[in-house]
Amino acid sequence: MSSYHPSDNELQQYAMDGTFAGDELAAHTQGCAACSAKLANYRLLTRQMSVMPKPAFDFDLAGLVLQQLPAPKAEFPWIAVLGVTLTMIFLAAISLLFGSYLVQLLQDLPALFATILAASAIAVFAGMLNTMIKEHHDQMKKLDFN
Amino acid sequence: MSHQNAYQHPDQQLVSRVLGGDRHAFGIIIKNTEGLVAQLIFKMIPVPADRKDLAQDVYLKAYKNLPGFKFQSKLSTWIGQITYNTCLHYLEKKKVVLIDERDDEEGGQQQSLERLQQKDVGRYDNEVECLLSAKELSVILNTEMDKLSPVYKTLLSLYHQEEMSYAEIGQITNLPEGTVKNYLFRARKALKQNLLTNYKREDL
Repeated sequence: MSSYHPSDNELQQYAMDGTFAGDELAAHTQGCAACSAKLANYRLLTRQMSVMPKPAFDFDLAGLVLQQLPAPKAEFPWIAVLGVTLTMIFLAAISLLFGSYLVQLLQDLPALFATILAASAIAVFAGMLNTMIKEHHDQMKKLDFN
Repeated sequence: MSHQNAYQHPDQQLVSRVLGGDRHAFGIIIKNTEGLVAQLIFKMIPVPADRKDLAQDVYLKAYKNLPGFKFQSKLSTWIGQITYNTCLHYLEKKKVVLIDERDDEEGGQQQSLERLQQKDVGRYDNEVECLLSAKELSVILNTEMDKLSPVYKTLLSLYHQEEMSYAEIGQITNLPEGTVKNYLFRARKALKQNLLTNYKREDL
């Protein structure tokens, strides 16, 4: 009988992929009971490992992770920026074209009327500012930082 | 645009959705990959109480680094890589030995076992099967796999249970393919030795 015995690695490879083995190895394992036993052991091990139940988490991983994700960043307000820009261009054009007439018109207004106009503008501005602050507070309350 | 999306890989579609602010898409990514993450964490982390925090940590890191993912590997492989590195970092902090050289040693008992095999070969035909069938195969195998070094049992799981290629395992573990293959040979041999050593005497 030949003194050749395949290495452990060769037997493992043969156990996983029979076609990989050379003729000599295949013939040897048929005739050598010791190598045949090793081969059978490795075949069993690899077969058994592939059907072992896989581990799984016993908690809702997705739910836990999604709770912790940072709040998405607000998108850049392109429409608002565009609106403001167009308005400013419009106002600049008006003042360029009719600036001298407007100045003259304001100068000709009675002092009382000008005061009422200015007070109204300030009141509207204050009202808008108040609404913005309230909305901001409401939105901050809705965000959950925990 | 929608025509282009139709031909996008599912990974790319999901990543695009997440980057666009769709959290539900990230939930899908978690569902698709948590099996692999569980496999890695269960094999590498011996303390069950720490596994939950580590699993969450993995996905929070993945979410944070998703804009930098360049699709050079499958998304699952990339997340596996994050998991493996997170576990390695944990084990290094706990000073756990990653590859125990004793796994590769052939003890005196094993040598006598081999000698016995040569002498009394008829009795040992498929001996592990005889042993394991009497001892609930998967339970015993699981117990013996757990005794191997973290890296060895991880490689065995990825190759035999997750059916990954040497290349994919190499990407996850950052080991050369040749090293992966070599470690797998050693791991199988160590597992076989442990089974024969621990279950042979009382059963045969």
